[in-house]
Amino acid sequence: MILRRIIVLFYILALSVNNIAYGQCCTAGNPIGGDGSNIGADKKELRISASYKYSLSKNYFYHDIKTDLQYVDKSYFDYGSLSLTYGILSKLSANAELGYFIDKTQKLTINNESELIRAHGLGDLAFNIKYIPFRTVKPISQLVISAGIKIPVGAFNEQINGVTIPISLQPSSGSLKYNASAFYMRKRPDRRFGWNTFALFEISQTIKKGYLIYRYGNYFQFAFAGTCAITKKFDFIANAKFEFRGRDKRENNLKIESTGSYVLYINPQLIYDFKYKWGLFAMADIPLYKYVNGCQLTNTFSVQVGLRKSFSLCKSNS
Amino acid sequence: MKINNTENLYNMQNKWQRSAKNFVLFVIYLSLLIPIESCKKDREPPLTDTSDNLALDSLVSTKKNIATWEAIYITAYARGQNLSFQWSANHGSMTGRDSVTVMYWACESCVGLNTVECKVNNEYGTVSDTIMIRVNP
Repeated sequence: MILRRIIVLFYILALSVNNIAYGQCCTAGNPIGGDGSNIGADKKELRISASYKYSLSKNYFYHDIKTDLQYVDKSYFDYGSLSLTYGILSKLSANAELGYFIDKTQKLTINNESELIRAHGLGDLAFNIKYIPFRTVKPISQLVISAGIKIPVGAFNEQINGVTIPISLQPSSGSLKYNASAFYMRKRPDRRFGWNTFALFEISQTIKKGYLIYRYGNYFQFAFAGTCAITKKFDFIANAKFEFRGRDKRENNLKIESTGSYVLYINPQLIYDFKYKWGLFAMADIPLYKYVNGCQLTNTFSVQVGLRKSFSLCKSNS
Repeated sequence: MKINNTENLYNMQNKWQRSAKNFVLFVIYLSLLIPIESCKKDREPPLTDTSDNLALDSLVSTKKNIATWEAIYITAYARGQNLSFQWSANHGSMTGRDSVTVMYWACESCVGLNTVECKVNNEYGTVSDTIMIRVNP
């Protein structure tokens, strides 16, 4: 029972650590695919998770200094996602996730005129395979390695009155991406506290669409979290997340000066477990320190709430 | 003999008169025919330049060299009926101003030589043109 709770705890934790916020000039951040289920599912276990995320970007930074650029009033998105994870074998599981931008909007003032650029549509489709090289019961520990791909199945040609909106506001990233990650968790069964760590690396393929030739910079994330079981059903996770994104490139392999960043986030999470393997979670991404190349619009905060349910498809449990 | 000569002269005169009459009638006939032919030509459709059905003559911007966050206007000069316009840029942002004009601007990550493309289409097909805008830091 305790082991299951711990697993659920880390599963929910993972939902947040895989959310990448792109620190470009125009975007409010773009959730990365995958449910972040860093732990593998048990054999023939199906996990379904649905979540909603709101992200807001308002402030321009020049390196690590907030500037007074006032062109973009605010940039935000509302994003809903559905994630499925299935345990193929005891050590091997597969995950798929697809999200939908209910609203991806930027309000700005240009030439003393207010402009509103808004899009909605499907995001990228993510597939991940997770393998568990080892896990122990005492102490509770698990190492998970994962590899995945993100396919730009979503909308990448959204227009307003015949005018194509910028790529940073398109629902899909438009780029095929590959990622690899490693996750390690450890907790003693008789203690309330535990810890885990997570690392992710992602590379993107070049987008070639008409006159647009664009490649997102490489992405690296490292996270370290402390977990605390406040009550039997209520858990708190304090997660610190460091993100590095390299410079994007355009045609002729030209590096774009005002892209790429280093950001340190604090990522608190609350998790409540119900009966019958239902769970509710809420979390936030709050940047503590930001350093951007050149001048960029940066993420102010994001919040996420979600519901998840696990099913055992084994006959003995059904 | 004298009578015969007079008779011959009279016959020749008649002959000439008939010939002249026939000639006049022929000329009248021809003069009638020509307008008829020209009327036939008038009924055919006039020859027109096919590019009048769909043409994109030029894209004109208020400036081609701008700073970040500086807004300019780009207008498409096109010919044809029932035209619809589609605008795209490889870098930078645009919003429509009217059916043929967009406002373009670019942020810091769009510095460089950028391409704005306009596609115009109607029932005759699609034509397109581009304009290059340099965005300076």
